[in-house]
Amino acid sequence: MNQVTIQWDVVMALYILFSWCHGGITNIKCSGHLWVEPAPIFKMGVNISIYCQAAIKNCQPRKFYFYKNDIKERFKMTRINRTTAWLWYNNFWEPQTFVYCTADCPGYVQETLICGKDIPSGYPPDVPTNVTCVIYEYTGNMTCTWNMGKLTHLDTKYTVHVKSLDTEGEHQYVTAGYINISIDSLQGGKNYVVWVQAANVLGTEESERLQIHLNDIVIPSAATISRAENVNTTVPKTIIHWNSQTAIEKGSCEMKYKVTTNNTWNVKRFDTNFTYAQQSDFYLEPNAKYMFQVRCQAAGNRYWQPWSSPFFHTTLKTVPQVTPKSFQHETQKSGLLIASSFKGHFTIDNKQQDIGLLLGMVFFAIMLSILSLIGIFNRSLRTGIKRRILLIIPTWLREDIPNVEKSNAVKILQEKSEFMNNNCSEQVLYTDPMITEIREIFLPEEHKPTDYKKGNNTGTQETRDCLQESLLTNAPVVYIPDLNTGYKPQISNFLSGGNPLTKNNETDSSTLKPPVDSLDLGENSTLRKYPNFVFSVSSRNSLGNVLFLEELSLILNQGECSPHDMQNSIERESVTETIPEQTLLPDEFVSCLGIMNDELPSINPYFPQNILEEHFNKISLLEK
Amino acid sequence: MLLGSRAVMLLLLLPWTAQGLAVPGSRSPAWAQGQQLSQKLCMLAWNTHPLRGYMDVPREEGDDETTSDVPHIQCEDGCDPQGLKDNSQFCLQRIHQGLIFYEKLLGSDIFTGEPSLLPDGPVGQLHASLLVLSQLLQHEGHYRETELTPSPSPSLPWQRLLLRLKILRSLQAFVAVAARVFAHGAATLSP
Repeated sequence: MNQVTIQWDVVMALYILFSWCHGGITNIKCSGHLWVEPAPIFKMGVNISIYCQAAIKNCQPRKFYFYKNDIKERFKMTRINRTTAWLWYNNFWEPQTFVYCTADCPGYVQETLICGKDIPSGYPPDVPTNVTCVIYEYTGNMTCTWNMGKLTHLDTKYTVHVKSLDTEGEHQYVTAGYINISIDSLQGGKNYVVWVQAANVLGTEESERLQIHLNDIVIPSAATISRAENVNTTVPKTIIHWNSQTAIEKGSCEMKYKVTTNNTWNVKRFDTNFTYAQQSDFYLEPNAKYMFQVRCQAAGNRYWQPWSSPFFHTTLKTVPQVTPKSFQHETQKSGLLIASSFKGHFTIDNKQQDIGLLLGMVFFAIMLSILSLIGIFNRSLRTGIKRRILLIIPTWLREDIPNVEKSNAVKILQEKSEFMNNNCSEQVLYTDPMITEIREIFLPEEHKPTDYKKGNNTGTQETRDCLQESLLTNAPVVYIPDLNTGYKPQISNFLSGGNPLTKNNETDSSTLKPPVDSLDLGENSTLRKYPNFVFSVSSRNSLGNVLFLEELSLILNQGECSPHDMQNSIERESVTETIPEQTLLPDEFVSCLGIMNDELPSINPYFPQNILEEHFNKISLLEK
Repeated sequence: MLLGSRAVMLLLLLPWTAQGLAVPGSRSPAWAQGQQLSQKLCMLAWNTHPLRGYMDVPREEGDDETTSDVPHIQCEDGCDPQGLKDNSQFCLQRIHQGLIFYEKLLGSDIFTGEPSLLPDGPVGQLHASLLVLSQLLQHEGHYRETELTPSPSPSLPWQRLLLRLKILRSLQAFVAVAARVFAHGAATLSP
């Protein structure tokens, strides 16, 4: 039983797999034929013809259509007979084109596909030139490169022929560009002939033959400049050090250098023995930034290394020796100070000033010490000083215990006590300072604080009342301070434009009702419209709007009573008022997407997917 | 006596079997998350292939006769309100199959080959979103990775132009119904 079940499952799986793999959604079914003349692949610039022949069951095409790169062609098209149409192009230059044709069949709104084709065009290959084969030291490969010529736009293969002059044996290597051939595969001695053959559907070309000896094409391992040093002799010079890990003993090298701001290279060439450390001397311009590069080749070889990566070096500055005397003379003369140039002289001058200051301080300290000693040891002098000081300072300062009776504070308290005794009926602990005058200050509209209100309420109740005020009055909502938490930043001044507030009693109050009872606006509530609200829901992209509304809803559902929430609720009001009812989608589809918030699901019966697709087709019909 | 106790046991187990056994993975689906993702899919699918493009999709001969080879959400899939209330897993299994199907297609050479599309364009975003929703369902319901996934044969560039339109059109219809299912689930079936 289990075996039967498994077999049945396998059969079903294979059936469904087969039907999905070979079904219509991943394949295109042609109902006819499309071909290109003079050839399926042709040289760019020629005149071409594209033919489309329909073979559609029960359809006599009323009209043919050609599409090139998914764009309908409206010109250069002719119908040859009842089943065939012809499209032509003069001087066709497009390298890769996709074409398909359709027919207008009676009884069908949509066009019926006949067939299509990729139309490649390009050039035959140029003759490969500059064939070069080298062996980079330590790589174990012979690298052959060549110049391919102009771009063919077509699949072009290059075949490298390597023929031994010693054994006459030949190897061929196919590639799309350069090639690396292992030296181990070259078993036919040291002498070879190399040539390159290029081929695509439009033609074949062959390069000249290159004769090589494997020992003559070795390029030493890369040379690198390691460091540079400035030698301050009578004539300053720069020494450049470089090295290479090559095993080749003798060769020749070139070093090119230039000032970075210049474009002219200077080249120095020298024979080299790679077994020793390499260095070279240069007599360069002072205070200039130079760039150096080096390359080498083995002795007797024709191929150079590529130039090494750039090495930058700045030569020494030649600063004139200037004495302090000459500096003073110079500054008096010019009246200018150039701090960077004469930094050293400033240092000397400062040192002299510092010594003078130090000497003065030492002298002052010594004098102070002497005077102190005299004061300590001479009793009569000390007594005299004390007497003089006692004459100067006030008497209360001299008393050991302050006399409280003379204190001003006690006097004031006594006076108050008397006053209170005289006015027993009006006993108060203290009185506020007298307020002489109340003056109303008219602030500009946009700067008026919203906590301005009548009454003396304090605390949380005051804050809530402020919120009410902000909704009920015409004052712009700018800033509502929270007395408990201190200062809060300005939230919004979106009414700064001075838009008049409109009374809207028709608005459903439930949509705007804040979660806190104290915010219930009552019958006299006025709900504002904000004409400057920039969000437009009248665009055709209704899905985006739906999502946006949902986001607003999420914000509203947070339920926190804050000015920010109030603003959002107001914005939501303006959005819901302006939602357009017309959409491009069928109502069922819109409702499918529109279920959100706490809305109950649609009570309409569900529809299967094919009904939805029928809706699409109806829309297509209406559009046509 | 023994028979009676067995009957009692069966009666006790009946509600559990009705809800648990028939359901591969008895956890409650994340309806709200699914609703959010499916709506995003709807939006992306329509942005990728706008409605006016339908006229550009030519019909192929035999389209009318052949049964569709793509996963459709049909009446028998239990995606109606009553079916979802009884056992939502059948419908979610169907949606999961469809998502995997389209996810594979959007990752195939039909969409990745020439003529090339922008890698971070709308099709790329659609592909990523399909993957996210299918993984959510996979995680919630422990659905088996279906072996009924498409493996389209290599296509030519001119064919890809048409295949892309066909696939996106079919995907739009699929995700529209899927979004409706998730919206219903989020509104009525969420715990």
